Amino acid sequence: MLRISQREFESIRRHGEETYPHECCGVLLGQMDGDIRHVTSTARCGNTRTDSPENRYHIDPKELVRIQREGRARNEDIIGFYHSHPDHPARWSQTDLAEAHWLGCSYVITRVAQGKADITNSFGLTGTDESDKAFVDEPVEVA
Amino acid sequence: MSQSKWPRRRRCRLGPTVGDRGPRSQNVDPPCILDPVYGIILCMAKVHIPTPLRQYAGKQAAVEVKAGSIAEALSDLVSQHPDLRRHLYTDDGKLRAFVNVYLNDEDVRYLQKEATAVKDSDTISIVPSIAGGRLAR
Repeated sequence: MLRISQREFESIRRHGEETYPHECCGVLLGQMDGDIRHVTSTARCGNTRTDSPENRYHIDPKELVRIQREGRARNEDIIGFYHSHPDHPARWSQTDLAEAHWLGCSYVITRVAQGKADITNSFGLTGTDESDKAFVDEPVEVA
Repeated sequence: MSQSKWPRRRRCRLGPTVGDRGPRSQNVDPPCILDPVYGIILCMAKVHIPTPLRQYAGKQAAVEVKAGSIAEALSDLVSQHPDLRRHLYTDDGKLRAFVNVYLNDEDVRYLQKEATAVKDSDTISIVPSIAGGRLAR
């Protein structure tokens, strides 16, 4: 389960609206407690896929190094990521799965329809390695 | 002459007789260690482990390694935690394409790759890539 505050939940949805018609992307930080991933902050990232930002995203690893370092100072770990699907369902794509490598983390996707954030879903990346990884639907608790 | 299997590393500044002085020398800033066999300086660096790989690294967020280069740092890391190997390397021993390795804030691909020298108190980050998008491949 993904547990996230209303404020952070709205922040990632707004991010998708602000970058529309391009995909937004960012990082979820917090703590893992068994099967519960508790988001305590989020970090917006730039989408480096300037060649196809309406249907692709990529986060500069250098930005991740910085976010990871700043998170450590707050006792937070990277526990997931988010991005938007402009005018497309809030379901993971084959590209999302192929490019997902953070096993055990959450991948949140928001459908942004005509510039307005619509459905937001979360998927946990399960498996033991690249050969058996899979996304599973994950409940989201907004509190 | 055959090519050394070892990556480029920092050579001992003290000459071949220094091994007689023991594993540490006053000419080497601690906690760097002088390897008496190879006559090289190995520094203590910290490798930050990303969340998904911590279960294979004794649940540690960071691991101390002895290394003179990135290759040696990763080698020491997987020798301490062998279960990490298959997550970092392909079957033919190459670093997986989606595994980014940063020395402090620099991608080692843009330095000297795995031969990049590691200094004392450097931090190494292993960062799996983050990408995707709605369009099917």
